[in-house]
Amino acid sequence: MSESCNSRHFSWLMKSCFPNPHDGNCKSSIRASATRNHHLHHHRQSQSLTTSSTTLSSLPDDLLLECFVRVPSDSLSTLCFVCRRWSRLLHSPSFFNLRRHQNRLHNTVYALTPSASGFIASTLTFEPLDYTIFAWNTRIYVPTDYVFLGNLYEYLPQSRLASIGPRIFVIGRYATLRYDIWTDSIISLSRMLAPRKKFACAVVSGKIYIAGGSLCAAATVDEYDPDSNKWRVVSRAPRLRYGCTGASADGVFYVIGGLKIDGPPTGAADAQMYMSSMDLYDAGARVWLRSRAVPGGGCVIAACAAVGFIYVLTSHAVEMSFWRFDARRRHGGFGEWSRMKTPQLAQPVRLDGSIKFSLVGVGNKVMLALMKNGRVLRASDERFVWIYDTVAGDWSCGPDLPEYIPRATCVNLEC
Amino acid sequence: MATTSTVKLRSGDNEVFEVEKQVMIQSGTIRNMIEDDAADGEIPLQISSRNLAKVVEWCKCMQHRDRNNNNDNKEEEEEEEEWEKKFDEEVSEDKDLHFGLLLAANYLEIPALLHRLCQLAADIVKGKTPEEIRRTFNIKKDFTPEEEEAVMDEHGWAFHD
Repeated sequence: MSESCNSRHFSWLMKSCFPNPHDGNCKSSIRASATRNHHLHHHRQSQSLTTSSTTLSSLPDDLLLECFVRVPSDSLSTLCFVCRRWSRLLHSPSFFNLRRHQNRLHNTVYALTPSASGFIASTLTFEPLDYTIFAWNTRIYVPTDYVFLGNLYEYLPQSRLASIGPRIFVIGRYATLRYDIWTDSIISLSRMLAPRKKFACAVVSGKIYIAGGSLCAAATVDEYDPDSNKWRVVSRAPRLRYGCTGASADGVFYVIGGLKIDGPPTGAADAQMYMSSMDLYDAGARVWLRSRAVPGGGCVIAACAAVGFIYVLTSHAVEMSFWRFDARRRHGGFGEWSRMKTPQLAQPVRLDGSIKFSLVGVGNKVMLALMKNGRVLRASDERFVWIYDTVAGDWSCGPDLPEYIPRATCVNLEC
Repeated sequence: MATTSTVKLRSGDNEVFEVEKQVMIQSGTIRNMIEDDAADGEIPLQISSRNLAKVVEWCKCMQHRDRNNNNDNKEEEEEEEEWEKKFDEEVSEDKDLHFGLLLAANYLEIPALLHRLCQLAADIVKGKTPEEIRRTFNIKKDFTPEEEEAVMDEHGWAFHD
């Protein structure tokens, strides 16, 4: 840490203190303080000849954060460039919690889609408190060549996205990237332990968990720690699911749906069981809880977490159903399923795999995006965005995704 | 219960300020001492007389304002606003005073003053480029060359919308 960024002045000030009101021994305190006054006197004298003795950098971390939290969101990114200490503080969980506490967090859904030279980020911002939304904003990101990106066009659609504060982690078979929306930079991180495709991914307590989807690796749950930039195996999964979805709520990593690819081929009933169930991994206690099945059966096509619940969209060949699982563990209703209202799509959607469904939890809202997978779109009616209000229990139409993002992968950033 | 209506505060450079208790109870730290009957002697504070004088002045003004809150005295109201404006200006231009006061407000637990000083710091920082911020607060740029290259391309598109 640089000389200008320390908090020595402060600790010196803080160490001096009042006499303990309970011991009533004022004299010694005053005497002690007189010695310090001597120090203060000299300190001030020497400082007055040069520049000011106390400045912004003299503040300890907690007070500096109190200043940062009052800076408007659009100026925060600039602060990351000042010095390492500032950058570290701005990305710290304490800062995130402070902003959450003061209702200063913005939820922004990022829909990332590859372009010929990089990727396109379309964003939909939800205003704090009332979650008002306007339209999608789009910008093209062209990564500079010093970062190995591989073939982003092939890579991005197969990757899973996770977000921690202002950072999006793009986790793919052969590379892990981190896109920081504040510094607008992309860096390459440690890649996963064994290549996976169509796996489940979610963030629990600042760490990323992945499971399933693996073609050749063992059926494990792997954990990524962003601080140490290291992956490690944390558990063996009870089922190996391919094409599964991840979500997290109340410290539990949910591995939802997908196809059965472990063990010898078994009956249709067994395969169906995988498609309509979820495994629950308690990341803190490192234990598996009892697996749960969606009551109506069917095939899970999308899932996400929002306000302590897991929302699941299932397909039954021609129709869909929408379910909610109570994931609040210190709550009487934990484990209860409720059937929710299904979005009334304008026209029947063929559930043949050509449409990609994304569910994203955004505060107390759930966003459903329907995208035709990998093909150029004919008309706007195939780029649905629906918003489910978990309080009112109803769906409304959201702003359409821009026409040129057919292969987008969505993630919500809370920062 | 306390016997006098004032409290004596001794600054780090040995200046004694005698202030009404009613004014100083805005400080959580001093309020606790008054409630514990520990404020009868002088309270030694490791705060410079300049900063302490400012804190006391601020507390007096706020107490005056709160007391007159129900009055519709336009003149006094304007006077107070003028004082606050002057306070903001003075603090914003003098970093030693600004952050010395900020530490003092934290130490004395005066949330309203702390809030105001933090807000002023945020206002100074906002809208400035990283280089301007570093220059304003005499901060050293300490990124490693790798970080600099990967993230800190200030002349590149990193600062464009």
